[in-house]
Amino acid sequence: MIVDPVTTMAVVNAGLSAIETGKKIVNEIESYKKFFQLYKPTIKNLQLNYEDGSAEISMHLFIPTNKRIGGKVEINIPKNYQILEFYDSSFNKIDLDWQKNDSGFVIKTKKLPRDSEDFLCRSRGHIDKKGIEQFVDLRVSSSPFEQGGEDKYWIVSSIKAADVLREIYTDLRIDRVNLDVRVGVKRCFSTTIPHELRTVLEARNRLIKATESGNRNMISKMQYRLRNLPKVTRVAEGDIIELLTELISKDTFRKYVYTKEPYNLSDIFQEGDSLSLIPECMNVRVFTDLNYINKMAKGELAFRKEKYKEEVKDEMGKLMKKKKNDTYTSRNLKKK
Amino acid sequence: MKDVETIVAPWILPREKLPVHLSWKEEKFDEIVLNFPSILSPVDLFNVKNFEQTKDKLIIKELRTNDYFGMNLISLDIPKESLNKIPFSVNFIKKGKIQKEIKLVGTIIRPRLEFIRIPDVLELSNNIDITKLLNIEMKHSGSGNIILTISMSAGGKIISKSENVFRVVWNKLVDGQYIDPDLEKVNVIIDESYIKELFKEFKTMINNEMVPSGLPVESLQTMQKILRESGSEKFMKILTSAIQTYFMESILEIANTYPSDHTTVRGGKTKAFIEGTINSVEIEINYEDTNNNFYETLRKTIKINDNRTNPRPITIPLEITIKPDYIKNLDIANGGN
Repeated sequence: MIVDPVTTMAVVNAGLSAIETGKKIVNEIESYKKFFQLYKPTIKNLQLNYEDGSAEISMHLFIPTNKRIGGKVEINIPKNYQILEFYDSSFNKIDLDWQKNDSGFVIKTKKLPRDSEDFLCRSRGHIDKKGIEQFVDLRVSSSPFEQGGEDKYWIVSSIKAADVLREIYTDLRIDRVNLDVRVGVKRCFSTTIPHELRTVLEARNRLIKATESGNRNMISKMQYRLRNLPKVTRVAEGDIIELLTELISKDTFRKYVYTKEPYNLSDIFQEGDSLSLIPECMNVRVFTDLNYINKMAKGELAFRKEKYKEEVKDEMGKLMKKKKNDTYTSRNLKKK
Repeated sequence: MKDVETIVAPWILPREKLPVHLSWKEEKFDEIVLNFPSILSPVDLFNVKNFEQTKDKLIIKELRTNDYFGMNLISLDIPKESLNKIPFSVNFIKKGKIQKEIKLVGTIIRPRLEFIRIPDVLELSNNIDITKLLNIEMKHSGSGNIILTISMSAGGKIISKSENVFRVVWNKLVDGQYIDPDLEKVNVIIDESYIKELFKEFKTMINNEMVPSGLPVESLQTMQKILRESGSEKFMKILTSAIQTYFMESILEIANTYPSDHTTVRGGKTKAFIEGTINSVEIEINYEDTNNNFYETLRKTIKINDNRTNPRPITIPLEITIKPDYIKNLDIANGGN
């Protein structure tokens, strides 16, 4: 299918969803703030974690001594939030004995210093992760560019609308903005499978085909051929699979991918159909942090493909050289 | 105005979004004008409050914060050339005067596949080595991974074959292509939870009387019988054994699926099933990139001269060799310039 040149212009989208999302996040944070309204809360810092959807909120609270009634300060916060730290006006961390009751937390006021009425409260909760996702634009090249034996993928991420939260929160950080780069790996094995291994596998294949046909003469012939392959090629299937599994493990693969600041490697997952020994792709997760100062981040992920192929080739070669005379045993094959 | 920091992705495939971002020390401008060519026009704007658009200009009237704006540009057409450097510019305007002009370049690359060598005629004789009969040599230029779909037809009838994975294992079980776990211990290390998961999938299909698409309904009876007679525990062992066979075969298959580093053949190796009466086959190769762009279809009709004394139906494997000729000089660090 060849697409004719399109003369119409692209429709410009000015990121309205990000603004809507921003409002949603603001609403969520503001409703949380209301739980502190007795103490004139103002949000100083908002830190959103893109990866797990958590939000860390630093809030200034004014707790005058005359509001510490009955020897306690009661703050009823939702169960999905927890208070992490509490500081006084001199930024001394106060070790509070938080008591959880049915509706939230209770502080015994005798622990609050009498000479301080201003406090900073750091708490953590979870907000709608989809909200954060829509707030940033993430791009990664769908195809690599091959250069100097490496497959290179570009990565660009940015905040869509910088003002939406800035009007309310002077400081915002979106941490661990992550995206997965699909690194093609299966093809690395196509040119590196040793000839001897192919011979063994093909001989084994023919035996299975013969078993399937039920032709007894053919079965004996193929069994004979498989048994009489040169010793060097007698490799157990289990060993091959074990080696391939090892080569494709994330610990091995991690040695062959790298990224530079401002991006960092996070995790590696296998991708492909569930029955494949070697996955089509390895999903390499990278992350960066975005904030009002660094609203955009460009990076690159490189896969040292040629070096990886060398390792595959070397390891396969070692396996071939192992004189495993005993590991190959003739098998009784199921007869049809 | 001092420095403007710019980010432009170093390359894109046709119809892939090209992220472009500009940031500077806070300063308000009357207008910021993006001059873009028709092949690369804006689709997403970030941090923009008000704008106007003409055929080749995007005039930003108001930003959300006066220190940054970003956009994604997109190419709506598939260019003919493998490497396309598209210049565009951004002007910062105050009181009708350009305060700063930023010149940028977007790079669009596309893959290209061509035949280098393909036979005009297939000569079939009594003692021919069929593995060397249908060899095609191709060139993959430009850049980017491509996926090939190969089909061969004779008189409108599709004669090529390819198989998918679930069907393969189902077939192996039905046809008994596995080592009986009672006779021989299966010598493969496979994650048990993985087998359990797979077993569940097979069991669900069998119990719901479902057959993988394209397979005969009768195969269900065989599967039901295997499951009934062996019981869950042995069935899992049988499944492991069938997967072992599949694994062994798939190692071989990889070489057939990936004729070069950046090409994949959908469905693996293609074979032509030629009946005695056919006197030509048409090979059709479609290719697409990782952004789902389809490129020009390659076609070739090959004549068949069947000189065999006793012409029987024959299956001929198609061997493809792909020679890479990729673009090399692209300054990735500097936005592909």
